[in-house]
Amino acid sequence: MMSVYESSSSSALSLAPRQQLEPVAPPEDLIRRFLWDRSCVEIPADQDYMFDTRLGPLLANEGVTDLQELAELLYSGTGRGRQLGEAVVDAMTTNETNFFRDTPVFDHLRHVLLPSLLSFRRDAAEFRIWSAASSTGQEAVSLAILISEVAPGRPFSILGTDISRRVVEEASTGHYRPIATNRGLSARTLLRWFDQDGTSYVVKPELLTNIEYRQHNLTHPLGDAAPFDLVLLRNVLIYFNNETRQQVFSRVADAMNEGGAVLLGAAERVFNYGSRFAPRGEDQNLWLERTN
Amino acid sequence: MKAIVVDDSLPIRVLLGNQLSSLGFSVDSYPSGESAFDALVGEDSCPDVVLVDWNMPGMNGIELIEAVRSQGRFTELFMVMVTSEARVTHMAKAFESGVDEYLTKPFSSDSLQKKLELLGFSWADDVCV
Repeated sequence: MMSVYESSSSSALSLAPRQQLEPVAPPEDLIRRFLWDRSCVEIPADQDYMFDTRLGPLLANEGVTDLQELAELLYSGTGRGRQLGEAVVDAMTTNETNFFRDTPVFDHLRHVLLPSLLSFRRDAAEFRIWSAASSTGQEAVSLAILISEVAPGRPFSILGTDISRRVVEEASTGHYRPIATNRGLSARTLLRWFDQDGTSYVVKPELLTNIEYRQHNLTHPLGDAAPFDLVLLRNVLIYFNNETRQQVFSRVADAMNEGGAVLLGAAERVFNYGSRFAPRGEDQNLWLERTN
Repeated sequence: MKAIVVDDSLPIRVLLGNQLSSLGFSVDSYPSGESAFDALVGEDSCPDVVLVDWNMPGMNGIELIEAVRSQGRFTELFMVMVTSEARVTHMAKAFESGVDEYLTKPFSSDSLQKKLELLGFSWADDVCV
């Protein structure tokens, strides 16, 4: 892969000292390449506005003059550059989420899919769920609440993973401010499953103990956490190109039990899931079964 | 659909009124519990939802909810507390008094819609706050 910087004396250098290099691409392209290399997230050219809207606050907070200086720092190989790199991945990949996002999806989970999967895996010691791209944990907590209500006493574990270290750390605390719980969480559910902690709410230990969060790149193997019976892979594939999506589906298949289910986002229509999945359901209730 | 907003703060009444209007509600607003109660019992028709502030001079939100619920024809009416009181003890008390949902101030623009969805309201995809 050709570097976004080229030396005056040789080509295809990467992460070389800045002073030896001539920038040959606009800063948006430099940061786009950096993001791709770090997270496989692709920012299409028609969404270049995201560099301003999402990185603007970061530039201001970090005292970086503009995107050009940021790009130079990202490729500087310095500690400052690495620290800014984490922040850039955070800013460009972190999205707002809410509890029980997409009500029809959770209704289908509650009434159809989850009872079916729990019955299918009734002999398993533990029902295992992977919340992929879990952001600040609202989806993982919603799943924990759901399974606790659908199958009280049934042992389960949930792994939430995200590319952003910051949101993984935030999710791990189990703390949510009122402005977050306002979004999708009924107050009765909050009273049942959260405790007051100062001006925030914290997920009750009986739920939180079943949830683990981990920093993870979806294109990499998950390692010792597998296999899962249910994977929620919602609203994240849109950031990947076709080749990367196939890679992600391959990793997900590796991490699942046969007969397990993958749920995609309510509006997502993905066709390149490979030969190890079969589509089930229809319309908004579409899901993929891990077949072999 | 019809909604009633009860809040002694004019900016909050305007904010909630605008959000509810954008969701397709016709909205009547009242600055006090007493005026809202008089309007509710004086009307033959029943609104679809009432949004009530907790802390108001005179009849507060809890007293209004209890008074409304004591009227037989309002037992099925959806009532939402919209308040800066964010402690779980306050939420529990509000539910005891008869609210159906609880929204804490400040709230983001889509929170009201999501709370109403929890009560069973739904909209076409092209309607958003």
